[in-house]
Amino acid sequence: MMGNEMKGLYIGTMNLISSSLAEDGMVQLKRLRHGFLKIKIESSMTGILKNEGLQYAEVGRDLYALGDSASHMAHVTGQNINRSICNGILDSKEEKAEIILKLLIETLIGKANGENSLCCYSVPAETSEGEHRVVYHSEVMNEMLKSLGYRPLAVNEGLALVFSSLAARRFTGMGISCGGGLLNVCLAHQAHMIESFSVDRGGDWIDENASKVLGMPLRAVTMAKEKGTALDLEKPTTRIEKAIAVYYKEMIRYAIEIMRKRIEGSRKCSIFQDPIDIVFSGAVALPKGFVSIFSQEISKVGFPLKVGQISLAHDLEYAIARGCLIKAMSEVL
Amino acid sequence: MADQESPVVSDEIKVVHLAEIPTKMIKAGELENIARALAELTAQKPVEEISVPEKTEAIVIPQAEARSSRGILGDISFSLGKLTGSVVNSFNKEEGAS
Ligand SMILES: Nc1ncnc2c1ncn2[C@@H]1O[C@H](COP(=O)(O)OP(=O)(O)O)[C@@H](O)[C@H]1O
Repeated sequence: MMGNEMKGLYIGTMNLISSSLAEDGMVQLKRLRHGFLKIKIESSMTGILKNEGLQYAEVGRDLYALGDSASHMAHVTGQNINRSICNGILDSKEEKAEIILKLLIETLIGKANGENSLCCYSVPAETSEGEHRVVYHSEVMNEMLKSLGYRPLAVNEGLALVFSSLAARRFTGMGISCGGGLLNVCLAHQAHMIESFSVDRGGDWIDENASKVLGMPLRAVTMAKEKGTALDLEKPTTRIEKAIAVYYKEMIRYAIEIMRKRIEGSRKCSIFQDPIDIVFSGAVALPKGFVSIFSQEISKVGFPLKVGQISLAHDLEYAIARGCLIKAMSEVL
Repeated sequence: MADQESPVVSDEIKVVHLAEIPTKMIKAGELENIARALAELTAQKPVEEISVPEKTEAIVIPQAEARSSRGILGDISFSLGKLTGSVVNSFNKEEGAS
């Protein structure tokens, strides 16, 4: 694989994660939150932003806070952060989405180093029939990566998860990535995608609903939810945790119902004779009890496939970025 | 900012400041082995990249309702650190900003 530059890029709703094969036999994983927020400040004052360690960019005449700095500023000023990506794909309603996304991607992966540079990036599945929005998104991403000198290659997000996490099962099983906006599901058989679809619910849906029923600010709910394994969905303690657990369970039930219907309606799924493993990625799957609730719920519905092991991907936040790099490496072999 | 009259606003990026990006390193060997297994398997038949589903049951959840602007000064505490009051007051308070 020497002489070929290989990169993987996960494009999530909240995060951009890159994976690059370095010459010393190591892989470098980098992560950026990609929100942005336009701020009004004299350009002569930008030195202060820099001294404070805030992340920003000056685009044309405008100044944008980026990443975590944008989240903090949005919080203190009561605004909503802007994201380049909405439900996994480029938000073309955001005027500066594309330019800021390109800026952040270049920050992560840099310009290609020579002609044999391959960048394999993740794309979600379509959410609705006839939408074809992913096609447009992929086209824009292709252009963006080409302008940085890379040969771009799109890989379905759930399939990338299967690549990184189900090698021991000969890349057969189900990968479900759980992000802020969507759950992306991919059912694969020996590395071939059999079914892929996304469910229009994710971490943000839990926050919005819990915040409504509790009459609490969204931010307070998000903070209570983002405690990772310190939150136990089967033993919620506070009022907020109880509401979060209710909506987690509802999201899981809903996703299983969509999966059941899709698989029942698919003749291709008869290819699965043995039980399939299911693996999850994404920070939404972090809380304790997630896998256990999923297992209980799926066993209640008469799921059309035999299910084997259900587990979280190793180092689950980086699993898709690793899968993208695996795909890039496999292309060069 | 200069040149307020000009109708053409370029998207030229002038300055970017990004604090250190969290980075972690892992060994490439394991990924290489997986990539090799994948290459062997897919050499037999190319892998489909993107599928457009035939039908979907998904529903669209509306965007989060825009939160109303809160007073800046009351909340200014931690994130903006030592920024002076005059700078803080000039932050854009419009919803949606862009
Ligand atoms: N530690 C955590 N525990 C539980 N949920 C988390 C945690 N960190 C982030 N989240 C939630 O995960 C969602 C974002 O998913 P993530 O995988 O980080 O990004 P992306 O949408 O880019 O895939 C958000 O709903 C966020 O609130």
